[in-house]
Amino acid sequence: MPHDHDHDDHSHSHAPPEDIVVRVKALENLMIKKGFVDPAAVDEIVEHYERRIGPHIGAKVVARAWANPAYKARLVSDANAALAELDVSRLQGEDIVVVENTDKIHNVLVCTLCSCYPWNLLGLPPVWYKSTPYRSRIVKEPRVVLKEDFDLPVADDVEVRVWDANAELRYMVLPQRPEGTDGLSEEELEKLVTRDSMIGTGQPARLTK
Amino acid sequence: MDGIHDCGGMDGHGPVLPEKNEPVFHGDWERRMFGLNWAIGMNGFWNQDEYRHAMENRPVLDYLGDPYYAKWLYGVETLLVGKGIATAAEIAEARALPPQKKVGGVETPLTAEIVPQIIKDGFTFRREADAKPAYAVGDKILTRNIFIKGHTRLPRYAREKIGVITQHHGIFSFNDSAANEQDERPQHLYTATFTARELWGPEASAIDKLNLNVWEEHIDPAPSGR
Repeated sequence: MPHDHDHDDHSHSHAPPEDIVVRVKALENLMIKKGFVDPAAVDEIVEHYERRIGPHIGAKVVARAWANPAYKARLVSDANAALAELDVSRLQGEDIVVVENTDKIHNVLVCTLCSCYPWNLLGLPPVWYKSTPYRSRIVKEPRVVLKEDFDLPVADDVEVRVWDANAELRYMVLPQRPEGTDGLSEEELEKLVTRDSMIGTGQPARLTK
Repeated sequence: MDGIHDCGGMDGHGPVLPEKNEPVFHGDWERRMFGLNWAIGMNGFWNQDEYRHAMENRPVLDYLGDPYYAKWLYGVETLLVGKGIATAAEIAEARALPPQKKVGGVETPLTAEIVPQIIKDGFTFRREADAKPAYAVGDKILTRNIFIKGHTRLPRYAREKIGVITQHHGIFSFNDSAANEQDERPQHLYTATFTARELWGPEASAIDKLNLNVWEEHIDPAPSGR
């Protein structure tokens, strides 16, 4: 299996037991044979989530909100309508709530029961978001997780708000616009928006000189 | 059910391990399983909450040991057999099948042509109903102390806790009854906000909060004095 992505200082394997690979192939073949599945449809949906839908969509929304106060007001009060203005798709993000970080509030997202995540804005979730270490700990000790696991210490006087996505609502964090970005265009701002800043486990990128 | 999936607040799961430059899929089996789940699911053999319950309803060590998309595989295989769509023997024997081509003349529910429209529109679980909301923003509520054998969206850590209604979202399908009774029982959905100390005790932060969605069947008005 190609393994061209690198890891942090941890080592963890994604290589599944051979049995799982065989079972997935068997399932696909059985479903095709029974007339329930068209493999071209599988190809098509994979293509969308692997190549077209990802955090760049959320970044575009965030940059628009940073650049345009009226848009930001609409985004935090009625996200669905504001996202429709930018032609954002809706699957696994049919009802979105945008939560805004401020000097006094830091928001962070989780789905403790499974893996709910705003696919339409951020694409498919990373493995850590779906893992039990994150799901179990972020609700109970968010400051410890943010500081120790994400190098994101939160000041004592900033309130941490955890959002557990246990219904069909999906959330996105609107991170704070970085200082020193006054002259930037929306396109330049987009490049500063990281996936983790829209989950609440990171900050936007700093300007590089 | 109070299974391992309901892990919010547990200790002992170890550090979070973010992976740098993580790819969307780690192998072709993940791609196929991701797409298959949608392609099979569109046949309407089960609803999404039955599917979520099928994934969580299994031995703790199996759940913890599987990579993420293997949980999807387990859920789909379990429901195919449970709903009588395929037998366990057929699934086992399918390992010997050569690669299959789409059956001629059969229109599958998910085609490549309709994928973009489905992604664009999604499937909202917002429902129309006449019911008036029983709670308003600002109301204090007490979550129920429920123990359901099937699926529930009220996690253990948030049962029998005092919270405040901070958002009202309108009427949504109720995932608990959709999974357990195949009955959506649409009802008002709210966000309840809990203090960290209410959930995690006096040593927790004095200012932090947790927000959770609650349906009307999950809550009662807070008793006076609490």
